[in-house]
Amino acid sequence: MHASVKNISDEQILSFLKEQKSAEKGFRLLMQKYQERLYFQIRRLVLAHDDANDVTQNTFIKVFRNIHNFKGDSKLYTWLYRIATNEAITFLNKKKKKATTSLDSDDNLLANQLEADPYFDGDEAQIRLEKALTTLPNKQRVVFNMRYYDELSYKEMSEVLKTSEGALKASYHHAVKKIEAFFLGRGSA
Amino acid sequence: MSKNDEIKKELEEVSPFLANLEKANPFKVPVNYFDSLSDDLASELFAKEEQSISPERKRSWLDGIINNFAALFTPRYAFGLASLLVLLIAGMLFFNDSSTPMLAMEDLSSDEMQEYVNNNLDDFDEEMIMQIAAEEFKLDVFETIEEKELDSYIENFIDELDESELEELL
Repeated sequence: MHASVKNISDEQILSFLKEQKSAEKGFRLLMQKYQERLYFQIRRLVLAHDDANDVTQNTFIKVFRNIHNFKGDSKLYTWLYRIATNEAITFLNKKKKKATTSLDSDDNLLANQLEADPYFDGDEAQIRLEKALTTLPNKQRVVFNMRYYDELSYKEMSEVLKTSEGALKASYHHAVKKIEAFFLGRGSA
Repeated sequence: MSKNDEIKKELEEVSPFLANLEKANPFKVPVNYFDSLSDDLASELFAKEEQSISPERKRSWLDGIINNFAALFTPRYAFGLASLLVLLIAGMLFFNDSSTPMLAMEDLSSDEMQEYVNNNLDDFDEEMIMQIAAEEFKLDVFETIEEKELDSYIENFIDELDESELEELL
């Protein structure tokens, strides 16, 4: 992230975005401030760099086209996070539909993609963890990633996913148990 | 307790195994990826936005109609259009020709009409004849006959028949 961008407030970026003459400047600042966080959030769901690149770009285009719908009820990043998550899940669902017509299952497709990706250099345990994650339902993966990797509180997760904190806690615990079972060979996660 | 400590403690309680697993980011990106991402996307997006509001690209519905009309006079469509016009003019001349003798009903005698009907009786089915008669005499053939009247008509009709006629009917 550009050092100077860190000091720019969300309010400043939004005011640039909402004026036609400064919209491009606002868009560049918005991307520079949040692209990295959003990219990795998306990447952990779609796994391959090329897919993450596409989904990240679509997310920012959608954000720009719908910026007038952002009323400031939540933090800007919460809103961006929600759009990125929805875009990634939509992408995964489309991919799953395509995979059902091929011989390779969706899970195998994602796992194979991971090992072939030149931009993945995890050790064996990390590969196994990612493979375990690909066997979870998409929404459960999102919940696990938010808590485990992004270290969000259940309140923050609830704002993004519009789901009760109790349901999110149950979903996270369930996901953790499934992943553990996958590692210990007690199930297919 | 900080948020991170709370999350770690929760994981230790649910799955000590997973809590001990090293947490790292195994995902990498091409060199200078984030430096060029915003520039590339912003340039592409704002070039498209400018094109979409550019006046040269905005065509009104009237422009569309004029262009389509003008296309009719290009060599590709001209022959077809000319043929259509010739057919239209020929049709108008043929149907509007006042010298064509037209027979009016008033010019026909009742014998001629009767003869025509007799010669073409097959063209008139029962239902059609009843419909024409009803319209001609302003009759509601079935709706005006009540069931009682119909029954008494049939009874009288049967009474008037002699035995031989009745046998014939049966």
